[in-house]
Amino acid sequence: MKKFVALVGTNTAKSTNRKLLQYMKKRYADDAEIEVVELKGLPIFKKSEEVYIPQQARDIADKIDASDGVIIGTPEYDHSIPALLSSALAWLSYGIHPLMDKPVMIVGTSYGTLGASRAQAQLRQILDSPELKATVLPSSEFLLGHSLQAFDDNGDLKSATESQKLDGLFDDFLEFVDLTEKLGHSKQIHEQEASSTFSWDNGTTGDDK
Amino acid sequence: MKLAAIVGTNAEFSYNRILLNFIKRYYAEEIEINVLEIKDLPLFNESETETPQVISDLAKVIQEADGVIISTPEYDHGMTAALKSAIEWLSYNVHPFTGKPVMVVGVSLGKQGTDLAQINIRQVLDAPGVDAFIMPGHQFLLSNAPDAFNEDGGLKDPKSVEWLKVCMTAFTDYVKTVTHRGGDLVDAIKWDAVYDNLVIGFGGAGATAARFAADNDAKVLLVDAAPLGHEGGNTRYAAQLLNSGEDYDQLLAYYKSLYAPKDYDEEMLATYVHGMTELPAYLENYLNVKPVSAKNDLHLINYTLPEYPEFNGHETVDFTLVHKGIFDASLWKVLRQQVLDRQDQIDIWLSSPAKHLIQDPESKVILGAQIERNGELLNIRAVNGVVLTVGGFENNRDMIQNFLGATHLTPLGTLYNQGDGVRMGEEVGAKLWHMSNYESLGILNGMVFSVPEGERGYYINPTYTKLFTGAIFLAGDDGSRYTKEDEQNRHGHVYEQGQWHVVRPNEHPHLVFDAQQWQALKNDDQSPYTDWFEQVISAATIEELAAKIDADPQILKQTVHQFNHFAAAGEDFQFGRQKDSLRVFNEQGPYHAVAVNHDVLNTQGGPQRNAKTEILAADGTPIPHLYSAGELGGINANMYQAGGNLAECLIFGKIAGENAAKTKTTHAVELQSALPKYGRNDIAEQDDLASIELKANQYLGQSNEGIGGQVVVRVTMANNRIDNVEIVRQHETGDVATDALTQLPQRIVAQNTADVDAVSGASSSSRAIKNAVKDALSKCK
Repeated sequence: MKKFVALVGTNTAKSTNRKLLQYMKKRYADDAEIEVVELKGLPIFKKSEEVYIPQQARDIADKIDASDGVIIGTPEYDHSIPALLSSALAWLSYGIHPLMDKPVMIVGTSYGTLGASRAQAQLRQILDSPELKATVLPSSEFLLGHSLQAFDDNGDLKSATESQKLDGLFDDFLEFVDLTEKLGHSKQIHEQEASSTFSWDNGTTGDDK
Repeated sequence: MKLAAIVGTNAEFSYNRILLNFIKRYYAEEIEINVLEIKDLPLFNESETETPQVISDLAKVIQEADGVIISTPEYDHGMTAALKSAIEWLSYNVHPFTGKPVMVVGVSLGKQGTDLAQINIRQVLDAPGVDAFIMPGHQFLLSNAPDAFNEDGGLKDPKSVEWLKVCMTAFTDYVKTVTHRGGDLVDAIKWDAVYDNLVIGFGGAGATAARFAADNDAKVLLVDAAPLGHEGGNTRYAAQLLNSGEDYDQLLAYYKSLYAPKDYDEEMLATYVHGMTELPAYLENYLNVKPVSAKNDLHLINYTLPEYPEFNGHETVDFTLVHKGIFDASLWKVLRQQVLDRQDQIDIWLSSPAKHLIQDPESKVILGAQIERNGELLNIRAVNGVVLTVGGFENNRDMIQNFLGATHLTPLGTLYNQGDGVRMGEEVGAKLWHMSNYESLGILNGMVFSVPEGERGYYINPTYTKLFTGAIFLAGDDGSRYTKEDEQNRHGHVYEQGQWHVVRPNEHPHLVFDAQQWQALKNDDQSPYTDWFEQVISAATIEELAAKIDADPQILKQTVHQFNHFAAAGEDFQFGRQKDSLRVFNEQGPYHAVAVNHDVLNTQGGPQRNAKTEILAADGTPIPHLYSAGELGGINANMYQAGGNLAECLIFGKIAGENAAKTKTTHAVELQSALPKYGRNDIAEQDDLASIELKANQYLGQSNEGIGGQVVVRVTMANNRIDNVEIVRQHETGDVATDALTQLPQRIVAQNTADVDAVSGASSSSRAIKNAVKDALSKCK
């Protein structure tokens, strides 16, 4: 049975992204063990001389390491992923690389119609940056618009088309996880790159000023 | 213009912070840039209903800025979480970015710069709720940060600085066009002329400041209120002595005693005294004149050499002169010629008083001044600074009463020092100092025979002792004596309990004397000045005389009685006047009196300046771009040594000129002369006219109203008819003007009047010619 970590990309109390991830956990309980992990509580990312990483970030990193894949649910704030999420991803690429070569599925909800499309596009770009190098499920946008009206009282998706679409994407993700296991070579390159050469000015390369 | 500059990271050390602080320093003289930090902001949380105080404070600063610069590094192909969190706060309950012009810059460690971060931040700033106006193009992206900056945080590569200036100029223009705000006063004003420096006041200090500004490549406009021939301020009327001395320590000790017990600015005094010891070299190096020493060359024995022999250090006090002559405007002519030798750099406008300084309301920078020229108020911009050398307020009755505690004083020097410098200084918030101190000169502790208001008094050297030797004394308003008439003259300061204070003026003092004294004075062929003889008042008795001079008869009678008592006893118990200067009054009348008045050579008060000649604001900080030299806010706070004022003109005039000339803008500002009709150099143009040869019945006339400015005509008269009109000077251009130049003279001769029809299409040329002819006709007897 596959184990996935589902990251809630916001710190607001009533988040429809959280609802979506909890819905997926319940709906796909037979196929995968999904743990919904909160990011709120993480301090805002800040570089430091001694490359300090908060314990909460290390715990999340361990869970990701131990998982077969990650699902990230993101809203859209000002056409971009929330600061909370970008801060968490910064912690998760500051001298540690749990997301490297980890299969990732992106989902998103928004009150408006676009379902956080820009935020999801930006998230792909970030996950592709040298310090993260996650393996993102390609061409798989799950954009849940008008999210406030999308769930019924016990947290299930009202619209059958949306839930079927989600089911299809989740099945793809399951196969994608197996598929990426075999991409050994790129994994080695990424390992070397991450530890030695330049990357965005994080703590490890010494010239972090 | 005010800009907010946001450091787009919360890292303790950041090249982006270094970049923004560099930009702030680089534009310190022109743009107020507020560098803002986001490192202490809480992480954004949508469920927070209330905006944290730190966020509303930040929003307020951004709101009040005309534009915002955001500098961001690149983390994970995007902007930092700290910056994104700040923007989330600033687009949630508050929206300071709405319609706000923004320029994004970035510094990165690696070679790739911060392209993706820039794209990300532009997307975010564009988003609804943020609604910023991001300036398109012109991205200032710096890579390889560690070797882009030197240790004090400046950009090493001049090309980067050039590109930064291009971006900043584009951004400031963008701010002005997008918001129609942030435009500085300097851009809003229609300037009639733009010079590097404007020097207000053409006396010794002004001539010096203008000359040294010009020698530092400044294009200077030098203006003065006085008409042609009366320029020169008090310098032209002074004794032409420059106080100097060989031994710095002695001269410093001497000057500290002159200052005591008042406080003084240590650095100011050191600069002043140091300058005085170097005046002989100054004359040789800068005025190419061989210095004359009063002590060594002239062996001058004079009561002002030194003026305070009881102070230590007095042995070194000397005067430096430009030649062997005093009270002959010799130094002034040398200083004036230095200005005329630099005609290509120094324009001169006379009869052109300065009305107001123009100051930017926010930065307090002095942008220039309003000058009255040919009856019009012109805005003159001084890109690098204005120098106030307008002298004191000797002819401003209101200021004399407010600052000196006297009601009226007779001027000895120029009639054109009206206190403009004090007024203009106050208008821009200058701090004033030394307001109550002034110098006077001449007999009876600085007095002259009374002259009508607005006329100069006649200085009589106190070596002419007949005016205070014999049966003669100075009667105050009520008839009593109030000063030691034969006091050794110390520029009007009299000895009181160990100090030398400016004497308390009386309103209508008189010299009172008996018939014998009057005969001696009347018949003295050595008398230096005799105009006062007709103003002598006579009366048979002392009581009658008192009535005629508004004195109290009893008091005057008592004073004469007391004076006779002193004369008989051979001692002036009241003031200690020399015993052989006392003679008993004749028993019989007639008795005589003549009105005298306290005079003023120069005042010392005005805006305070520091050793760099920068004028200080009320809070003691320099007012940017405003300098002064000379007696306006002079350095002399208490007792005065002769020659000190002129020394100050040369010493601080040089410093003011040099400091004013220093370039203070990051980009060259285009200079612009005033329209030709305002003329360029009144003195040169006047000298040029004098060279035109005139026969008996020929008259010269001129007008400045031509297109090219000055038009000069020579009119020949024959049995009081206009016989010929020749145009001898003109700079008119264009063929229509040539018609006027050819047709009008014949038309005026034919109609024997200047009031002829103008040549169509050449109205200003015609007007100039007609007015020039009228000017010439006005000179026909």
